[in-house]
Amino acid sequence: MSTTASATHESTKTPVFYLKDEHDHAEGGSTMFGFWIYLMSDCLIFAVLFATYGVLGGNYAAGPAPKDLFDLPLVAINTSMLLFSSITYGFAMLTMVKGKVGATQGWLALTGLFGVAFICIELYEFAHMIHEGATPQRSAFLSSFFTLVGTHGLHVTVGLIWLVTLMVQVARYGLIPANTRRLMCLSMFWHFLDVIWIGVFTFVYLMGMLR
Amino acid sequence: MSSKVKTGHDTHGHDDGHEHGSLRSYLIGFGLSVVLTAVPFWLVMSGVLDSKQATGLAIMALAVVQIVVHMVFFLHMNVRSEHGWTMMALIFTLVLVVITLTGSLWVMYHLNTNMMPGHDMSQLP
Amino acid sequence: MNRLLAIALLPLLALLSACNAVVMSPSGDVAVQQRDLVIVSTVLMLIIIIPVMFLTVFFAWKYRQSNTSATYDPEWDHSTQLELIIWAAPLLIIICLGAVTWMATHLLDPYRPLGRISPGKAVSQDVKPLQVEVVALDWKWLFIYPEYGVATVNELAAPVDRPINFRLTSSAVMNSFYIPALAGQIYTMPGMQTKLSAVINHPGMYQGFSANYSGAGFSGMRFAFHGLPDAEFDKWVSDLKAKGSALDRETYLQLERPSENVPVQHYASVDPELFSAVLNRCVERGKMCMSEMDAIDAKGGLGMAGIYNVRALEYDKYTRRGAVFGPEPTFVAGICSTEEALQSGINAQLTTPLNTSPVLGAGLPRPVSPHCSAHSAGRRIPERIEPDMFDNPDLIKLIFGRLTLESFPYHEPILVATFAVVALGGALLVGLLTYYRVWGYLWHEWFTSVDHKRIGVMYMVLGIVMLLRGFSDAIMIRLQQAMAFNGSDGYLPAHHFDQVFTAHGVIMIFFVAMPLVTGLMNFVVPLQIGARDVSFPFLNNFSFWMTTAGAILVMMSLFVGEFAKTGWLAYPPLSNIGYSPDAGMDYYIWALQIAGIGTLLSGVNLVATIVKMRAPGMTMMKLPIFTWTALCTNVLIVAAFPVLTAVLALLTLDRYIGTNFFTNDFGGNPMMYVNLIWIWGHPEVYILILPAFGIFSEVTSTFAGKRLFGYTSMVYATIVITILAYLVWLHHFFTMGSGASVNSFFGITTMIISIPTGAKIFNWLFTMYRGRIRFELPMMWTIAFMLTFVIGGMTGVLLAVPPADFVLHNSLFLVAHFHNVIIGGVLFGLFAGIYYWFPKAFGFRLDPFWGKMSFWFWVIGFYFAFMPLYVLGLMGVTRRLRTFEDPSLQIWFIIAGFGAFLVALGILSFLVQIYVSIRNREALRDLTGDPWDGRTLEWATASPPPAYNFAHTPVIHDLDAWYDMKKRGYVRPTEGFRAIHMPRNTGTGVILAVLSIIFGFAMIWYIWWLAAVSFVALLVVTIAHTFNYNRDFHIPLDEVVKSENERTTMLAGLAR
Repeated sequence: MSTTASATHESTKTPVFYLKDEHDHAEGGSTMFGFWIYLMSDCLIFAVLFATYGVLGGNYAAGPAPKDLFDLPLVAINTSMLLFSSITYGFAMLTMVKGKVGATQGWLALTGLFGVAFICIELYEFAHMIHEGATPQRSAFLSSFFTLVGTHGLHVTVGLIWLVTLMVQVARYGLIPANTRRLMCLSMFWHFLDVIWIGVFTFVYLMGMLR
Repeated sequence: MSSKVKTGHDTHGHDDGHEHGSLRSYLIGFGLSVVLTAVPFWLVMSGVLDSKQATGLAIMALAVVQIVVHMVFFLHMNVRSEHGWTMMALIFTLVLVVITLTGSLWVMYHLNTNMMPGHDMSQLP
Repeated sequence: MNRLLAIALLPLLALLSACNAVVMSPSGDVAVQQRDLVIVSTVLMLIIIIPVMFLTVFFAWKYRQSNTSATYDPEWDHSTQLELIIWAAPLLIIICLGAVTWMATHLLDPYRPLGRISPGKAVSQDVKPLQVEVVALDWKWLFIYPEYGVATVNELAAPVDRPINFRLTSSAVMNSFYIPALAGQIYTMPGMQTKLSAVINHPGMYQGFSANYSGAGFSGMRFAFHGLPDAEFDKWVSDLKAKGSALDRETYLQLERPSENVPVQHYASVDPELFSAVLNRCVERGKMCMSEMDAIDAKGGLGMAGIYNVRALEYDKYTRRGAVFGPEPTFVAGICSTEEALQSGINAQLTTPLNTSPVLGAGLPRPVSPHCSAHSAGRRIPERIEPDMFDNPDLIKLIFGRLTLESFPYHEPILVATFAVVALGGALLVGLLTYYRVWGYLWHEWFTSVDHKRIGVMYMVLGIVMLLRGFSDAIMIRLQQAMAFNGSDGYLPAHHFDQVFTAHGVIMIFFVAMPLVTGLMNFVVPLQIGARDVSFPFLNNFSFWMTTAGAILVMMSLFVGEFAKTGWLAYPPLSNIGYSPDAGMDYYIWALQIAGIGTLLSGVNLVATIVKMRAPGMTMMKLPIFTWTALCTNVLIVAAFPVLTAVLALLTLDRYIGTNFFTNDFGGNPMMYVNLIWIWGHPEVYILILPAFGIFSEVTSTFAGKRLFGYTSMVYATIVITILAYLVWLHHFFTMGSGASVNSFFGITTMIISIPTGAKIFNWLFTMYRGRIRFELPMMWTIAFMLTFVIGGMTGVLLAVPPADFVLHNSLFLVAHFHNVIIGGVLFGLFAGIYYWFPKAFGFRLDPFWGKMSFWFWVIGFYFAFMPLYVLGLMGVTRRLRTFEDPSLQIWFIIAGFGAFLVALGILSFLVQIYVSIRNREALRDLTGDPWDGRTLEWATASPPPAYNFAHTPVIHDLDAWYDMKKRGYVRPTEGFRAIHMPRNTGTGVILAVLSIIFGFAMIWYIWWLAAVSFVALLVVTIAHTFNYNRDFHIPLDEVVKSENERTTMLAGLAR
């Protein structure tokens, strides 16, 4: 609805009560805002998981503590994977605005690779811990650790599935408005997960090593 | 009766009202976040600061700064988009996140100190 | 007249004087002070409540439509002075009450040593308080007197006027220790210790019990408390010593097993460390004491060395309650000696570091039991990661999970009869639908519709259908509680009764109140803001079907398996796998998770709609008040439901993969669940009530024919409530023992909420003032609401005073309070809203006669049903009880049952009203689209509105947009129409919901293959849906013209 109701005049006896000349309803005008609201609600899921970790994170149940389990260099590598994927997604958005399908797809693919690397490293970390016996069942600390980090990982995985879907859609239909809108939503999602990860590596890994 | 009618619609159809940033802003953001990630890792891994508390506070502060950097340079947060509604939603959410986190920690801390059996250690043989 | 009144009041007075309101006339000094606080707070609040009730009646009478001599001032909507008073008056009361609360909470903190024995009598220094250690067992009470070395079961005695220091814990699940005559209650938690200081002033025998539901034998968890003169107390102790047996650890472990209605037992000697061992959960041999574990954890754990040291920490995760519903429990004392531990290779690492640290020496000694080997051989160690079913992986289990023939309750006549009725009714319905060939119509026009109006109507239908189910649960509760006296067990066994009250709560909140509220918002909001649909029409359809999917899962639990037996919020440890191993709890989890997705998405959708889709000119301060409340409600939904999702997910992980968030084992903490679920739970209350407030505002303004008084302060009141809703959650567990500072903080924030709420009530009052009130049904509901709700509000603020809450929490007083606000607030509002907007939705009004029948039955029935519960609460009767001992209570339950019967008539009248109205629809037809002389935009369009709502997008100049349009000569356009762009119907929502039901069902019954298949299907369908870019179409111009011309003809016909 691009027409603003500029046609009200105090001088005329009856004010304008409806739009005579209107365009079609802009499709997806609310999508970005709606998705932002959704992200905010997701943020609260993480808030609960962080709070749970904050409360239960010290309950090792006479088992291993963070300093026995965490491998900071690995976490640093993992963090860099996510950071790189963020900047590559940013480049994808810049090329998308210019309408370059090929370059956009390239950057998206690169982002996906970094994302996959992130997930693989995380899975390796988890597998290693479980192999050593530090399972989510071992203590409340480990339960909350696996759940918080795992939920983030699950979000990244969903992001990857979404990314692949979008790449197929861009390949098939090009950078039509519906697709650019979806890419922008995924962009918000992806960068949002980055922000959550800052909380995770600071609050869980780094603070954990300080305990 | 107001003489000027404002539109309730925030977007104008063809413009999505969303910023995409520029190469420059992405690179600045990336540079800043690399630094802001590297420093806390370095602080913890090398243990340069003697006190754990100081290190903890420092990395928390750096995390907050980095979150702001990501918000501004990657998520393009500003007070203008969607007529400020995005910012409003964000602030409201942050308030609730703080309430949930600190509230839970506060309540659970009190419950634990009041109720954990650990305090009866002295009475045990 | 007066004599008649006296005759009517006489039996009531006789009843009241006959009842023993122990909370109001206690015998212990602490309870006396709590009673005084209840009275002081009530009096303080009455200062404002009584004038409000008087003004409500007075304004309603004075400004009735027929009184044409009263001043009528339709434009009067603001008075700064008045609004100042409106905010200041409640504020002043709350400041007083807040100060009282702060002082009383600190003074009456249960942890604080007593300051006095009785008024004017201080505690003398030379009197040592009596120490009593209390253990709440399944389902009896153990009292240990450490000074005397004796113990009792289900009998407690204390000398008069000597302070008593209780230390309390629980063996398995959460209970609440409550002797109304002595002092307020306090929770007992496994692995944790609460304290209570109290004194009894008068000799006598008093009732004590658990006030927090703890499972099947909960009703029988009663004990006698004897207040004895000193000499008699000494005699009681020496008698105990003379004739009792010994209570050692083995005896305790036998005692700990679940048992019901245990007779009084005496123990002449007690293992002096028994209480510490119980508290630290190391009575069983080979268990590590929790204090020891905490000490190790404080030092940073045992590192990788301690990693396989699990058996010593596994306190009760797997089916300690097995005895009650299944085979004998398999638990016996675990590992007995170090050698054996070394052999089994499990406990090996524990011993080494234990000796290295001085702190660790503090652990309790672990004596070796002679029977040990035999017992430990019998112990079954469940697989920790996979649930039981993998023990025996035969084909049937692989296919059907844990679903067996026994899961179908064919042996329960009540359920079989219900099933028969439902099946017959269902078959009849399906038959009729098929006979009249309406399936296609339903599918194309309703099920797949993305029209917000149709979805709104479907939500309402869902809510009303579920209301019938939830209400039949209510009737069953009332019947059971009215019957189960004088040794009668009533007609419901515990495992059935416990499901009934759990289902009642869950259904009424999640599947009645939520759909009705969401439905109304869905229907009304886009119309009120001049939009053609919501922001995301497909999501809207999807949300509805997900809510329905949750409801269907709950209904399935009636006939396949069972429902949760935990109370509607399912506190762990009771709801965790160890104590609720059956499928009921999983039905609860998956039904709420699936419905929760729907609720969350519909919240996002409506927020985006209100923010982005308002018609030109509609600034935020011209937003109709109902839309404002809808906005705040949906903001609350978006911000609160993720918390529920997360906390239920954590409980799911506990139950399915054996994590330790809310278990008693491995450092888990059940209190965290209580904390988190109320962070969702309290905003949920406002999610329900805010839209009701909005409805009352619209109704009052419309039927008083007047602008809403104090619109701005109404808006700010709503926003303040929205934010404060997040700052009060702890008032639901004051009695858990978080201490005076935390309790008084949350108590005062709770009271602060009553300020904006009070302001709202005054705003409605002054909207009526100088109006011309038409007493149509919506207005009648509003008046009934204002009179009823203030009572509920008052008792609510009373419960926000922590020491008062100690005596009233978990009692029927609490039950009466929240029914008072939810029925008197939310439900009355919904009925007002349904009657008000029904003609908009269907084009004809509801029949007023049957509406009035429904109204009077509901209102009178409500008072009959719940006022007795207030009285019972003051008599110290706790909730969720299945049987009763005291026969003097029965009459009140019978009155309450009569009230429920009246409400049943109210519901029946409502259904008859709908039927009669449909039959007489031509007579009740409204052609104007504006039957009530409305004020907001929804009345500007036809009834029922066309699919596109408005042919031309309206432009808004005033808060009461339609009133403004009527007043300033709006002429309805009859030409210049265009084709209108609208979203297309889709069946994806239904498909996704069906897949979700299958997925939920498979998860509930551990049918893993089906869960995997349906989950993949969900993903595939979702992704496939995103490949459909062709989601909208244009309503062709000639169709628009046709329907608009019809309305033109209709209006022209009216004008003639």
